[in-house]
Amino acid sequence: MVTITVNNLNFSYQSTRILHDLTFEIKSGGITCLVGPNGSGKTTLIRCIDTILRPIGTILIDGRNIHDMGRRAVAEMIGYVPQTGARIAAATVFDVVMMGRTPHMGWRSTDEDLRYVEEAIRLLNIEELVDREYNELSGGQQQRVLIARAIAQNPRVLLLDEPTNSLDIHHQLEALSTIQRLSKETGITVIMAVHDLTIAARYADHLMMLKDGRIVGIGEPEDLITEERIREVYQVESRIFMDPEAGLIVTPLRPVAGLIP
Amino acid sequence: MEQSRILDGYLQRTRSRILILFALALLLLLLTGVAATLGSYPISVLEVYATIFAGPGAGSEAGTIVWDYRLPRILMGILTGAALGLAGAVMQGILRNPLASPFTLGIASAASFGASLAIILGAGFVAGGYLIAANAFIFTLLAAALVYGLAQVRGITPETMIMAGIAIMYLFSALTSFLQYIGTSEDVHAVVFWMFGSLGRATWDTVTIAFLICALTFPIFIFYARSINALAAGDETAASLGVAVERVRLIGMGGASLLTAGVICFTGTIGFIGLVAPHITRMIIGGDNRFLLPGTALMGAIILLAADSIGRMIMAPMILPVGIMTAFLGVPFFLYLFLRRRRDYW
Repeated sequence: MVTITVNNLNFSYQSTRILHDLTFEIKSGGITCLVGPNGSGKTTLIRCIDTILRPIGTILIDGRNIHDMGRRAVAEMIGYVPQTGARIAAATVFDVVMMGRTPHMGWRSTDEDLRYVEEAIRLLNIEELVDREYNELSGGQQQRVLIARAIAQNPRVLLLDEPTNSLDIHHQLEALSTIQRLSKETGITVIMAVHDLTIAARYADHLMMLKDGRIVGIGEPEDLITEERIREVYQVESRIFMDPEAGLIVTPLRPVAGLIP
Repeated sequence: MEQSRILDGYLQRTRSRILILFALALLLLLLTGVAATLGSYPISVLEVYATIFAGPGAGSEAGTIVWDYRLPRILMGILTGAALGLAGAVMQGILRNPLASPFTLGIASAASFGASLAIILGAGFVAGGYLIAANAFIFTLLAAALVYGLAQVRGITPETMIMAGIAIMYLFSALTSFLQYIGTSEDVHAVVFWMFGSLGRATWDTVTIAFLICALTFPIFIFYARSINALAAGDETAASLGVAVERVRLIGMGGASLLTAGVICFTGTIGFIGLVAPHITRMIIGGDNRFLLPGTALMGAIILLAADSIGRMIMAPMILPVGIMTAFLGVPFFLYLFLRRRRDYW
């Protein structure tokens, strides 16, 4: 398990400020869901933690500043599942999952590399796809392949950007339960940007709500997801139910009056 | 069992990829023997191998002809084909673009300009017999450095590199046209002939230089094969997998330029191979650069040697420049593979 400490994190694209002075700590593994409207900075924050972007401020993992670490050392520790859409030329599903071993692997793949790849493929239930060309898959299938790639990377921190937005409900449940089980069994720390508040409430151990690059709140999903806060953050009237099995369910009703003419 | 089935496909593919590499190497070896029989002095294929194994200076007439006249041309063909094919595969990989080739960055037009400068004005960096080659070599690397410098202003991405390459290509084309405009018709003819690309100028000296450049760069590319694999998934994903994206791109581009410069300065610009040999090989062997790169080098050598051999036979005793033959031979093969294949490979 690792502790992620973020201090005074700021990020701007050219002159547009995206993240405003974020300071927070994520402890003890589990799943942390990032929620917030479009443009609230969820993806930017995830890309800062993966050191793809160079922010101002510090991100420490177990006390080490990750922006001082080499690319490969970061990749050994942090796995990233981007949003789908990019094509990958001339690669089978197996090849793509195998890419996850890049930071660990030399020119030849070892039996251990192959074992991780095999395990990830089984966890995401994509055995039937292994020999298919990645570009020929549907968006949902590609999403599962990308999750498998990050799992094959065997990271201690797993970052996911909208990992379920092209999955049907069956595969949503399957992928998220796999991630949840993985985080419980291996102690891996998961940070996941999610749009669906019901999903966030159901799978998050901790929730962070962002708006306009600032933290609106951090805490337990039940404390944070309220009808008032959804109105404030999303400008949407909603109703929240408790289901004995599924937990908290958010039903959006309508935009706050006055927003739509 | 499900478990072993996952790996089965991969292991089987790996085995067949290795097999394909061996088959290509064997084909190249056979082709070398056949190519050395071509010419006015009759030698059989077996005699060719016998004289090659006997070594140079064995004294026989056949030995002299093979070693002094035919082998330099053949080896230059092999090195040129391998270098252009490999450089093309690397450029397609690091630029993530199926239309990339060693000439994408304006390298060919820079080489032509360097050669024109030597032929028309007699101006260059090295006096004597290597004037044209040295000019072509230096201007090729100069163009690559210019492209890199320009692209760096906005960050080294495939887009900035291709844009800068297009600008450089037009610049050197215009400069070459200008030289041709002021040159005499004999000079212009010499420039045009240089630009066709030909193996006729090969000697043991030029073969040695080209070989050294290939021997220097090949291992570097093979070493970076995994990194180039990861680049296929995009810059951010590759970076996230621990790849030093800009460094790999710089080394790839620098190495491909050096490799290209090292052969075309002796042969003239030979198009097509660097574009199509990687595609043909990718369709046969797949996209894993650990196999694709050596496979493309072999494939490029085979295509070039075959093209040159046919160019020597088809209108014998007249020899057609190999630069013209490569396209005639390669296009039908490429189209056959491309149209037949259903999979979405790029």
